[in-house]
Amino acid sequence: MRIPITKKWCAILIPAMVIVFFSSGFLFAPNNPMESNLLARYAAPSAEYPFGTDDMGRCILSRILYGGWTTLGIVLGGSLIVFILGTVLGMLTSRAVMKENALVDGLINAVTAIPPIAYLIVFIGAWGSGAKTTLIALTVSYILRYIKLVRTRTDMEMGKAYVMCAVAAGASKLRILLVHIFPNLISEMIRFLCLSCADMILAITGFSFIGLGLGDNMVDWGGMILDARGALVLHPTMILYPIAAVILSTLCFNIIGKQLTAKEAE
Amino acid sequence: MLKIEQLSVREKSGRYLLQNISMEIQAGQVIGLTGHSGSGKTTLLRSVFGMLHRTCHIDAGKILLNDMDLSHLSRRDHRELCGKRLGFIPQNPMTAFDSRMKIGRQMQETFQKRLHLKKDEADALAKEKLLLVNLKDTARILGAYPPELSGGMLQRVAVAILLGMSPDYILADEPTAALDEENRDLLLLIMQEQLTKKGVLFVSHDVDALKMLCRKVYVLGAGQIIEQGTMETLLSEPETDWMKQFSSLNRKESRGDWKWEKL
Repeated sequence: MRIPITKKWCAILIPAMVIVFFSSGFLFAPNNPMESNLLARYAAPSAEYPFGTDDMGRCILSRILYGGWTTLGIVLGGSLIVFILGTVLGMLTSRAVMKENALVDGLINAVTAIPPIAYLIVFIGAWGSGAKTTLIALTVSYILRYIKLVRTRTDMEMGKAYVMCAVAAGASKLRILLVHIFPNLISEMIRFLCLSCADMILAITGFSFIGLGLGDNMVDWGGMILDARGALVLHPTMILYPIAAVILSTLCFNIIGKQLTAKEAE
Repeated sequence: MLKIEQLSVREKSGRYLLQNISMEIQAGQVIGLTGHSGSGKTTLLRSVFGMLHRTCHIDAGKILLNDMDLSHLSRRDHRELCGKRLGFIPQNPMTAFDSRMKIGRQMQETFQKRLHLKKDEADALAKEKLLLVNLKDTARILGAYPPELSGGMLQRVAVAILLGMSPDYILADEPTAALDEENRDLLLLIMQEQLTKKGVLFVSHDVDALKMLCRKVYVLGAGQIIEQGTMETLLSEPETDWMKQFSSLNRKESRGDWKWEKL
């Protein structure tokens, strides 16, 4: 019995640690990610530059770590906003609180039918690229899906027998929502957020790769892949580091999401 | 006295779910309520608790709890009565508890919030009432999550909560339906012993239970009371078709004095 439980926790804790490493690793970065050293362009890995340098002689390791901070900062910050605001709004619009309302139903169905990437394009088109725009666009696009999920699940949970028993024992609606429904939803909501975090990383990286990224004075993985593309033939290792970082972090979010699902299924 | 006077409940579409229902439940009395499924038994219970679905409403009549009309109470006032004055025993105990909360916490919080007790007082009350319903291993029960206990045990926990809250009137929605023979007998025994001073409305299809507990039984059919009387007279002199079928089924069951024999 003991080994599987330890295994399961490892399967959640190790990916979580990798994510923490990528999002806070910039604190231990060996060099300034923006400082170029034209004498050491395309340097091989050394004690000073553990992963070598890029076409401007900037430390790749430091850039990976700072890039992780910007990318995962947006992703985690966005998820936190989605979690808090989405939960409140989802519960408020559920049938437990509101009367059945065809307008709200239709509106939510309509806006969630548009894929998140379309929102990103519209927002970036309207306000130009930048970290703030990306954060807002991602938050808005995911919060709508999230509200829909919370709303539906709240309604389902409200229909269960224990809620009727709680009412018969004199519990208030607020108490039922906060003490009974919310804890019953939380694992599913975290699972949803983990999977959407992985999507968000790909979206941010993808957009910054095609130049709609976070702006010029920000380091991020998509931008690094774009820069490294020019030197792909002569220095192929340069492109591998940011790609590995993207793969590793999305993989970690996916593993956590999957493990939580497996735990739930028990 | 819990008195239901000429109660009619109507759906939005205009269909009557209950029509002109009148009954009286006095303290110390167990009143039975039976009828085929869909005849409005649960709707009747829901209207007493003020938990009717949004699509239906009380059209006419009164629900009087000691001369206080419940049918027009606000949600908040109604809630004050639920649990304290009116108790509920659920049909399926397996789904009646929040599966992510320990039994101990559910009992303790209910007592704390509703009876304004301190934490340790609520704990002590929970233990005391669990012993009353013959759940001796209180520490295990209180520390267990609902799915870890059997249906019979959970149903007794539900009764223990009721005993702790001590409402004057108890509405039981087919409390024995999801239980096996042994647990059913145990529950009926506990109800007979512990609920002597309460007024109980016992909704059930269980003839033996109705016979054993109830002084008077009402039969609902399509939202109306179609028959009433003691279970014995209902069975021996059934008037309506449904009751005739019900009693003949019952007789067949009781005629079986044969045994399984090993070949």
